[in-house]
Amino acid sequence: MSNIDSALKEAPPSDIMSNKLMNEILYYITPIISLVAFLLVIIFGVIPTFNTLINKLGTIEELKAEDTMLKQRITKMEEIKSRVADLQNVIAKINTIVPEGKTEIVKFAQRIREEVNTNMGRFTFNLDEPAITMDNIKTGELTLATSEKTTNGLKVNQVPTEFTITGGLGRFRQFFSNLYDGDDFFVVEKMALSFDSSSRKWNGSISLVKYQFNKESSFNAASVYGAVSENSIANQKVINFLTLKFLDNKLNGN
Amino acid sequence: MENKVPPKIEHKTQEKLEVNCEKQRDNYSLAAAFLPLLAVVLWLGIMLINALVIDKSENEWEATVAKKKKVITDIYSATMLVYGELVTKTNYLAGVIEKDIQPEEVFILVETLFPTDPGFSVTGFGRDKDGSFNVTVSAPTFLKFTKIARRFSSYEKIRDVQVRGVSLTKSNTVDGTINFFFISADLNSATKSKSTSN
Repeated sequence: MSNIDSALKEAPPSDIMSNKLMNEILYYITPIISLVAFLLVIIFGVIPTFNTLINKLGTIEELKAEDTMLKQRITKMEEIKSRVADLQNVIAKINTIVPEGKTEIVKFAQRIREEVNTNMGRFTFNLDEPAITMDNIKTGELTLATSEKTTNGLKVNQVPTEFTITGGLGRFRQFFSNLYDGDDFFVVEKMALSFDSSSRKWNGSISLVKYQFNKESSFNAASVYGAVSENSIANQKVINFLTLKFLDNKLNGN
Repeated sequence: MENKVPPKIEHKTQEKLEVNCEKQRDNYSLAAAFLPLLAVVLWLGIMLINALVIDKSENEWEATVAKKKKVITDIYSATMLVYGELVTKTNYLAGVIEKDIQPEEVFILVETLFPTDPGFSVTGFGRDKDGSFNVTVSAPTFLKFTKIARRFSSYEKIRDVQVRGVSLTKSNTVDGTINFFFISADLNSATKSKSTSN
């Protein structure tokens, strides 16, 4: 007789049923609890930690990219630093020709008066012509030079200097050339020269505009200039203009 | 078909099957009990990798980046202020510089277009606020005036040539104004060469 048979004979049927039930429950409940615990650990432990790991790997990749970008910035900045002396020369020239105060503009009007009486200059024209006389020289109102709105507190203003002029055409040319050869930067905003056949003279009304940088009270050089990226490019036309007209000439001693 | 297996043998086979089944269920239960342990081991493994490898690497990269940022701030910030001023100011002046055309250009233009005795007279030079230049011409005939205007319009260093206010005067001459814009890129080189020759 087997052990099971003997056990069945010894134990009452109700106990046997109860044991069987307990066994069945244990057999089914244990794996279920294990599975639930497994899932809990996976869901609340493994997956978040794994996500953190993935995020950190992503952060590392971003840091690597940032490092590469910083390396490129440093290379670019080093290149800029190597020619900072030249850049400062250009800025100094810009600040001279487009000053920040109004003093230079007043001086410009004085210089126009002086140049009228100058017969010497780099250009030579037919100077057997009537000398120039100038009238009604006046400095006009200060206005914005560009229509673009400024957001950083820096703007360019323009101040016209208007006058009427009479004399020979060669003298006019001499006058303009001398003005242009000087250290002032100006633009002929308006010009109307006409020949008067009765007096054999040229008459004209001229408006020369000089420019001025104006810094508003909100202007902060460190934040405005410091915000410029090393990848931004200085306007080459302006650099060429300054180099050609002011810097090269001065370097060559002309 | 008749069942030839005796009832006792059939009973014993049934018992054996039940025992085997129960053993198998035991094994499954035991294996299932290890699942949470497996998950915890996996979790710990990931946490270890995180702490020993990933965190270390992240900290190193953070330090490298911070070091480079400090270099930029400490060494290059002064340079960048200079460069920023240059970029800002040159960009502001770009529009202004474009307007810079010397009046001498217009005199040179007339000399270039009509190098010998032109058979007409120039009675005026001018510039308007829009940047255009003008030359007022007094010609003996309409045909001559037309030829002059055509010479202007065929010259490649100026653009938008327009003829304005053409009229026959009392002295029987044809007066009119020729308006145009200089093409600035060509102009600078022309000025330079002229200046050099002078």
